[in-house]
Amino acid sequence: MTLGTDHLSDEQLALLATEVPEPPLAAHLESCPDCRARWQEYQALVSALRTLPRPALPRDFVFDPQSVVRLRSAPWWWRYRFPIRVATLLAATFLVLLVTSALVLVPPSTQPNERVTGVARSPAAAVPTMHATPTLAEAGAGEEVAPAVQALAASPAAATEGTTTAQTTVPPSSLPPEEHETSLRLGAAGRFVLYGAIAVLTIVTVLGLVIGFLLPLVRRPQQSTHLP
Amino acid sequence: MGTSDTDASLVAAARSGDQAAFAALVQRYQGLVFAVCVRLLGDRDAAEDIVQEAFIRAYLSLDRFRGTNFRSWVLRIAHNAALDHLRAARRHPHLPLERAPEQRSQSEPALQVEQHGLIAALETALAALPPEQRAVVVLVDVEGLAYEEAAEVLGIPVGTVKSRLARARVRLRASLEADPRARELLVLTGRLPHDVESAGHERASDAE
Repeated sequence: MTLGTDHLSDEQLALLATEVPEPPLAAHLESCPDCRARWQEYQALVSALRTLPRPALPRDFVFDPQSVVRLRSAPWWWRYRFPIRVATLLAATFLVLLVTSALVLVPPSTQPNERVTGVARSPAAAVPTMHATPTLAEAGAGEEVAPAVQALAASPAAATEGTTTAQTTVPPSSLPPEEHETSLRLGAAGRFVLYGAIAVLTIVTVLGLVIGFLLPLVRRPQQSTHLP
Repeated sequence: MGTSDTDASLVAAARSGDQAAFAALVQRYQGLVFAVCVRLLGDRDAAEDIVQEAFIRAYLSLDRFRGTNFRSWVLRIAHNAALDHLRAARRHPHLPLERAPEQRSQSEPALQVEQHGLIAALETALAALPPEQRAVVVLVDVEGLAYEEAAEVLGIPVGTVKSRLARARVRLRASLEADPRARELLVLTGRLPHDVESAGHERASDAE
């Protein structure tokens, strides 16, 4: 905003009609008859507006509060009872499906206690099992064996080497311990999710039954009319 | 309930079930709320309905009232209801928006003929404003609310209140300037100095 020869805008003067002008603006209004005249017009306008009479009241607006109590908006559990009921039925359906799945998919043989025992077995614990595998000499004891095998059995060094070789070639009777442990851990996580979902759905279903079905029956509001 | 009771104490009493306290609040503000609604809507019948609705809404929502200014709260409820009515009136053009009738309180002293003419001119100019500007002028200039309270009622920033008010005053002045009789009335009722009035005439003749 530049003062001096430039005039104040109408919007500035309109606001100044009810405000004390800052010193530069006041100085301009003092020196500029045109701006001062317009400023006084706005002051006259505001002054006239402030004397507008209030319209006469057509009646008293005091009302009997008891007459409008019935218009009080219904509680939330009444207003949302239908969505709550639908959600409850959905939760109950999923709950039944999950419980059925749990019964079918988790066989009794894979009880948690057993699996925990399997997990606890370390590779070191499995060593005796591997040593229990018979050596060639033991395997052949009391039976007719090939001459080469007999020669191997006669030499302790050769026997030791042969045993080692034989042990590495004999396949283990079960999964390697590491792999077995991993599969069991995944199973435990799956069970955790399954049982957690069942617990959550049970809570939702019970709450939904209480809030969506039982509460509207027991504490039905007298009137659920909304305000116009 | 005496007139000296503060709004806060009346609201607290009404919340605790004192019906006389709420009646006192209604009596205190019904004139203001009705005047604002009539000027916003230009229709006394619609304003009457909206004022009643506003007080009923306020009563039913007392538990949710968290502020300290009951006046601005109930004005805000009424203003929102009035805006809804205006929108509905625009959607259904067969409901005409009438000009605010020039009814005055019977207890008011008889006014001069000039003043009646000025009031009519001002009411006409007010009714011609866009609703958002009219609301600001009615609250600040006619009813004397502070910028901050008007902003609270209208739900807009104080800066917006000021800019709308400035634009509305410019429009009002232009409307009155276009009506030579209104200018004369401003001078006759002592609100405009004679030299300003003659300066206005000079500007008008220059423009011609």
